[in-house]
Amino acid sequence: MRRQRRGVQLLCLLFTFVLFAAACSSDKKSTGAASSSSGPAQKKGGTLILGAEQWPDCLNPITQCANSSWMHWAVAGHVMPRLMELDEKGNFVPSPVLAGDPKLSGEGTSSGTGKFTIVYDIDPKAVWDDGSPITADDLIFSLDAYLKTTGAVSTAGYDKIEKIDSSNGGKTATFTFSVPYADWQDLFGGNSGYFYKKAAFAGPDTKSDMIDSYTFSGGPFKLDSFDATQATFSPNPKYWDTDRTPFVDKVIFKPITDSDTELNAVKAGEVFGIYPQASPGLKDKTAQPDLTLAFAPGVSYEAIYMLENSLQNPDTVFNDKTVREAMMFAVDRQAILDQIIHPDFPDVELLQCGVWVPTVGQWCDQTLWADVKFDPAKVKSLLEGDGWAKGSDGIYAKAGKRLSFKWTVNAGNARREAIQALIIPKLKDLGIEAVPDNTDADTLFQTRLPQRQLEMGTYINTASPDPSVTTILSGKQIPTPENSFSGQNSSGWNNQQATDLMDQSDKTPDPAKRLDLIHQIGKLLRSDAVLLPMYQLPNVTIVRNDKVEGPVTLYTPAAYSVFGNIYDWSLK
Amino acid sequence: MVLYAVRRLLWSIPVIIIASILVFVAVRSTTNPSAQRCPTCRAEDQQRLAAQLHLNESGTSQYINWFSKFSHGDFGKTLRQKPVWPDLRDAIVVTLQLGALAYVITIGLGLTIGVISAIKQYSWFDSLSTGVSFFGLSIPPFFFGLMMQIILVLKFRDWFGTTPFFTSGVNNSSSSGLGYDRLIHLILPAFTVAVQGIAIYSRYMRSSMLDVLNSDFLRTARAKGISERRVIIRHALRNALIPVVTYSAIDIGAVIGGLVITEQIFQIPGMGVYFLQAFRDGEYVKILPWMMLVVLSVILLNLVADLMYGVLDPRIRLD
Repeated sequence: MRRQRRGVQLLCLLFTFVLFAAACSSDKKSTGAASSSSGPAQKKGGTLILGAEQWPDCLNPITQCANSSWMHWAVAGHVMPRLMELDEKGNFVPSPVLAGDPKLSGEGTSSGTGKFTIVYDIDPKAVWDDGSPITADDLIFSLDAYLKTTGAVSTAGYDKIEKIDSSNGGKTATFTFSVPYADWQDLFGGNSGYFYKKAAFAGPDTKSDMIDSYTFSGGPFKLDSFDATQATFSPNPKYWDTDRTPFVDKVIFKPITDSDTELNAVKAGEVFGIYPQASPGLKDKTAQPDLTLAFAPGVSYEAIYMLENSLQNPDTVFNDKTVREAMMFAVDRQAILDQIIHPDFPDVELLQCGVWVPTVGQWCDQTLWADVKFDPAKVKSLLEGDGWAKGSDGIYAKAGKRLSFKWTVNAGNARREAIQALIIPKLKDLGIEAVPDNTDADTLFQTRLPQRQLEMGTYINTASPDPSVTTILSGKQIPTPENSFSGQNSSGWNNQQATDLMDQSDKTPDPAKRLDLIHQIGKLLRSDAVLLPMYQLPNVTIVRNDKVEGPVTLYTPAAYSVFGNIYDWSLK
Repeated sequence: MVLYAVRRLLWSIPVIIIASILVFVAVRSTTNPSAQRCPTCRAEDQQRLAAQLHLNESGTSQYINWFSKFSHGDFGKTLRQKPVWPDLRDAIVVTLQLGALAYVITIGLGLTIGVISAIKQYSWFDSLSTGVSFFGLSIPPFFFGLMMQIILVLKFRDWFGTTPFFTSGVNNSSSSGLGYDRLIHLILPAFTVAVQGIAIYSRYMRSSMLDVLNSDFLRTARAKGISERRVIIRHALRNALIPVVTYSAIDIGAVIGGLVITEQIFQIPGMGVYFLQAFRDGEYVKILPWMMLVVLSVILLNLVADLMYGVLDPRIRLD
């Protein structure tokens, strides 16, 4: 009995040792104990073929090429190194390039004014694909490139960096900012930033570089080729982070820009995974056993925007704050959710925090729109209390002006047209006339919206991990004929207090202080009734479960798309 | 005929200039390159971009700058600094491949069905081809293309375990260029482009053939004892082809337009996909040469049609 117990003890000890050894192993890929959700060791080798819903025209992440999300998702994100990166939940974390968390110092770190410095320690093992070390000189060059490239899409934040100092043999980079910059994590990283290998460029103006190739890599993959038909990648043999050593020998991204064809291609097994936009009927269309369909709350949200000082109708009823407030209670959001969204995406909830979303960062204040419910009595009391009275046609009017406006969505968008069909009769019953004024997507998003040629519009916006809403809501960013329609604040909201708060928030790196400022902006946004948030659009992943395995749906909610972790995908 | 051709070509010059102005005005007024979808762009970034890319210059200055370069064969660079010509050239090549295959199918099937329908007028074949033609005419290409994908790729695979056809692309991932792989990828899109053409040409050919078959000279030919086969092939077909050939030459321009939808559905990186992407990106620099090439091809093919008319019908003199 005693011998038997000792035997059991020995077995337990041996088992514990084996477990401990496995856990301490530095190379997950070599042990086969990958981060796979599928249990057994993942197979190495093979070609992973994936579909891309849009295709970039060019690859330079500094110029307007960077406007294409798919340039990041299908190409640059797998090759280019970043300083800070986003995990699958949208949190900023140090990338494998860094040896640890960056160190912030200076008075500006907490006060919003004064000196602001960040020290990045670069991992000694971090190298480019030719084995040359990644150093602070590459960051200094990259800063120059962002500022001096002709046609650089945005210099925001980079123009606040006074200098970058190199020390510790190039493995420490010290950034000194002229003013505190809260969104520092998006510089050379984050959502769409990278840094570049100095030796690969002739000079800082990169306008003619990285058009359709990358001659270097600092990520898990190297780009082997890129053209209008596909992009091919192979593992970067010098990549130092063994947790991200790719399982497959080759990755191919193929453009399939028609949504029906995209589904047919994955059903036919021509591609092994796609990242389509959420659309009605998706569940039924993909109901076959070899397909895995995953949903997660995405970073995009849909809202109804009521434009002040619309250039389509400068005398719009939405110049009247009471009308906008009444609209908050006249649009039946719950009916939209129940009748249009839930049949396909039953988990989607009402968005109550305006232009932030609960799954990205900590910025969403779910109390802001929580009081907003379909309430005909409140609509009546608000309007009639402000002097509006129903006319003989049943529509409210005040001082000869009818409560009538045009409502624009992109024609052909089944979801938005269904929302109009549901809501317009309900508004009419309440004495509000909404007239559909739909137009094709290209005209709406290229011309009418940037030039504020609508009164009310329904469209999506994207919540970034950084909570700044300055570009889309600041009074300084309203497109007008005088500034040649520059700026993204198409809503026309011009609240000086909110604009000041946005400026202050952009200069406040301290998350706690910033949270307070963001919530103040949210309260002003709600009290001015600028928009009616509806819901977060779900992200969708469809993969062939007979072809691929690993944590293939882990990045479904991520800012980098579901393909953000393809180094962990393997073939069956 | 040479003089006629030279005269027509000279007349084309003012047509091209007027077309270029119309194209420029239309393209510039419907694309907004300075207001790209750029969520991170501040107003100051957009203003800087507009200045760097010369988007603030007057329309006249932009037109003169563009047309003078275009007329010298310089297609310029996109707003993203990518040379226009290489991509456009590749797109033209792919479109020509698809267009040529679609054209062969259209003409081959359309004319054959038309001729048989005319010879066997009111037969079951004639009735069937008439019915199928109306079906082909009324079915939109995007719907037909998707049906082809579902039946010949997805269902075919379900029934037989494999399929030779593909839903999208021009080549398998492991291969490139021409050959069997390219051909098999282009079969479904080519049929999608061709389906309406087959319907139109079969009806057109049937009607033209019936006109000729009832003419006096054929009755004479038969009275002379010439075999029916020779009467149809040597005499009837040649005459019936005259209006069809002219129409088909003009129709090539329309084929390019029709490819836009099909290329998008089957992800063929030709001129259709090129145009759509350029329009979405606000890349007017890419759209202008595209449209001018279509204009030039229509002008040229009209000329070819007129010249062929003269060649096929000796009664017509092009002086």
